[in-house]
Amino acid sequence: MPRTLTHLMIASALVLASTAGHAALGERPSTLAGTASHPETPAMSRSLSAKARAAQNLYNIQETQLESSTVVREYTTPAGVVFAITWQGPVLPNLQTLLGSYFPTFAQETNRAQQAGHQRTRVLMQTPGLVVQSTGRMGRFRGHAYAPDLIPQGVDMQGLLP
Amino acid sequence: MSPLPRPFDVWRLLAIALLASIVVACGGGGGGGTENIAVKGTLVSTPSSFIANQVNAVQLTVDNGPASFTGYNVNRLFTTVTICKPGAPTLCQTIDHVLVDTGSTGLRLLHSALAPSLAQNLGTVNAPAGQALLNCVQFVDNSHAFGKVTLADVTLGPKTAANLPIQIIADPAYSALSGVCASGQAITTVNDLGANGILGVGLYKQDCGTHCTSAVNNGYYYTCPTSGACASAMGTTTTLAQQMTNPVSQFSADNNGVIIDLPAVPTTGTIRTTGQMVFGIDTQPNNGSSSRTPLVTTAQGYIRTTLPATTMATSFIDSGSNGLFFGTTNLPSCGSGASGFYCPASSTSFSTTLTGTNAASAIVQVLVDNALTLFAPRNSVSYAVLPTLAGPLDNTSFDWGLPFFYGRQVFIGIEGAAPSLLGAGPLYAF
Repeated sequence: MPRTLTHLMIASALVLASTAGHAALGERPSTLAGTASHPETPAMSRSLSAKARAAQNLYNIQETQLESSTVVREYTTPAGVVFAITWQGPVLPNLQTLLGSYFPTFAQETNRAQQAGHQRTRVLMQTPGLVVQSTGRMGRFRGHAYAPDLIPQGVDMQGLLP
Repeated sequence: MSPLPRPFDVWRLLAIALLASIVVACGGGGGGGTENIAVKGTLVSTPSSFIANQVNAVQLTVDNGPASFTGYNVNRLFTTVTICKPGAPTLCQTIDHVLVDTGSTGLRLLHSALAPSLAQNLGTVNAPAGQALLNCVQFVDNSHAFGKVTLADVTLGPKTAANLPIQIIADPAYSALSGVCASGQAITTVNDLGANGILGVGLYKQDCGTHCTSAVNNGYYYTCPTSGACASAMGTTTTLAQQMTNPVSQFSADNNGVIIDLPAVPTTGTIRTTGQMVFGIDTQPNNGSSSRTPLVTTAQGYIRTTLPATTMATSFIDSGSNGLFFGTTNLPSCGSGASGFYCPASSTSFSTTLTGTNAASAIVQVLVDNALTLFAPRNSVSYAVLPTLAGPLDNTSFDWGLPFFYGRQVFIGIEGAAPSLLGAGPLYAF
């Protein structure tokens, strides 16, 4: 899904102008900014709350298309805290940035999984505090992560995830 | 998949030099008619082991991997690759246990698997800005392989792809920068990878394609900002010719796809098995597609899998996956010792339908056994070949890993290559 340079530049400018802060599960939504030379550079970002499957304003969605063309969605509570993340595209987003303080738990799981005879394969992690799924193959990644404790009351995660 | 127990030392001879013909209906309205297309040959319907002295085939092995690997490899398909510094037939090395991966593109070799005399003679490829081109490949567990792109003459059995861009994983000159590739573990050793390298012979010619010719921060390609020691890395565009390239697509002939041809194995597994990879489709007496049904994939490489209760739209066939991975509530997951796999109380079988974008479909039987039982050593030997190994995934994808390949000849048609009688890739047939 290549985009034109003009499109990229305009979109990046919009993002830089409209968001602030740094991102992660349990925190405020991401700018996914990184550095200018990083694939996290956003190509396009928009709020999806208008076309919300977000019933009764239970949550908001910010969708960001990175320059790598990977699309990241961050689901936030009405108070603005990210409780779920999804990604899809040719390149993994920076999961350390997106998972924030939850990343060490994820890293512990992936390191442990390497010892059990199945290498470099999908992650299906389900702990009380963190659920992560990362699947696909080289160049075709899909995944999601959420913190069960942070899900707003009334939100059905099964219905929310793609 | 329902492999019947069968001794795998029974060699199945290819029906070489058979001149088959396929009758193609042509014409719709105007009086019809048929057209005979000559096919140079055909594969027999029963998969076979490697046959020596073919002009377009290389042996494949499923076993526990490189001699120095200390872990337990399951369902990992290997071949042997010879690389030479371009045009320097004395600077060569033959490398065993390179993973054959139909889910990726291009050859990637661990720096640690190379003899120093060769490694130090492999150069770099310049990115458009003039410094060394570096490649990143990520895995779904957030681990990654990072390293320089170099050119090599790559030989697989009797076939050579000259001047092919390949990746040297964890070249010490650049490995400190691998964090730009992904935030997880960097793959640097045989024990990290379970192989000496990865041979991507999938549906595509390049790992990234046209996107990386225009997007700077594409996530695949990086370069150094200045000459000399590379202190940091930044994104860069690449030409198609510089990208990680499917070596098969660069052969002078027999370059439109591959056939992965593995024998059936006992459902309870075995220690090791061998088969062959045949290059080209409908180009030689030994690679005729005969009357097989092509399953054309989406541009993203997906077909559809229908289970009794679920349709999985983003399914794919991937020799680099070591099990059949799909979501179902009918199979219990294993506990510790085999987490990430299914552990049914008894053998469980069911029928699935695979459908391409061309609306053609094929029925595939699946047999799943208890992973804990399969992993348990038998007479102190852990089996590397486990055809009934499966594990959970979500219910939108069916990942047809190596168990699917046992007892089949799986055709992979490369996108943008000369069409075979199956049609134009990307496609699968079996």
